[in-house]
Amino acid sequence: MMNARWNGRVEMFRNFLWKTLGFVGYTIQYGCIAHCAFEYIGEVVVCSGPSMEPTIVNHDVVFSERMSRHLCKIQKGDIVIAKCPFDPHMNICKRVIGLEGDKVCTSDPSDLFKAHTYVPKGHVWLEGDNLRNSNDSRNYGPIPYALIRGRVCLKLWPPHSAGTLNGSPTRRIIKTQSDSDSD
Amino acid sequence: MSPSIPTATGRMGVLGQKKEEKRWRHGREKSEEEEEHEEKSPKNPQQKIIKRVIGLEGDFIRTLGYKNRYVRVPDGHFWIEGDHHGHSLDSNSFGPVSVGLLHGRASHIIWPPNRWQQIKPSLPPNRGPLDTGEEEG
Repeated sequence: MMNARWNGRVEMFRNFLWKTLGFVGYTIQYGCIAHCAFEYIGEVVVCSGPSMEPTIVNHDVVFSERMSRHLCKIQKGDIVIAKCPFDPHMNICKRVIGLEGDKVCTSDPSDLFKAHTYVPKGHVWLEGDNLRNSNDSRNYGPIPYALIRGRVCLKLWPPHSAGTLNGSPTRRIIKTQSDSDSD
Repeated sequence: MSPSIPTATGRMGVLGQKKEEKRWRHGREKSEEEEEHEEKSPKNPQQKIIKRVIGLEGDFIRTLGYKNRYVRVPDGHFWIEGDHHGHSLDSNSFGPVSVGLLHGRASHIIWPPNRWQQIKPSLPPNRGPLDTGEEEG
């Protein structure tokens, strides 16, 4: 009788062990899929700060997709999430004003004499939509393209302004000959 | 970067490297100096380059062929150099590099088998950061 009880307990323990291993296996599987999704497909981002008003305001939730960045298809006028060049733990959300080789205006719109510069190879020029209250490439210069993490394609919250995002309200993007040819 | 590691561009399959997130090593920031790091090139986002870290943020570096003779490495950046100075595309050409471009740390050489070794952190002679105490002395 002792043997039967002992066997019963061993059986229960074995079942429990298999269930736990099964659970751990599923967790690892879903963890890997989730990681691949966040790394290669897209992620949800909560934005803070006033530098992209009125397009994106404080506490808005947006979805940023990663495919454009991996395929190098980021274009002028896209809103991107990038790693801050001066603090690798922080992210910044700005609009792309110029790609490599483009001419960008470095002076304020209110300045009498306009200064221009060309974006170097492998870099992009970012500016916030709220020009008066934005710390961007006008302060720290162009940033390497590889710091870009993703392109913001959809606003998810608040619901009354959810959907795709508008184009640049600031008219800082200088259209080149090749842009007008492709239109 | 000879003789330690030949310049690696594009795929990094032959070099065994641990992908280390910067935040895990926050407490040991100073010990990362002198190590070889693999990172995305600031000139070509699809290329990875492998160089040695010579200076961290806040260090003063005496440069070899850069537009300024002395450079203070800005916050969130580091100064990288290849071991073979004459033939190296490194910070002496394009300046300090943002830490966000760091991809991983090269820890071992795994191919060819006769070069199997651990890559140890070591600063080349005369390439260390300048101490302001020595400058005044």
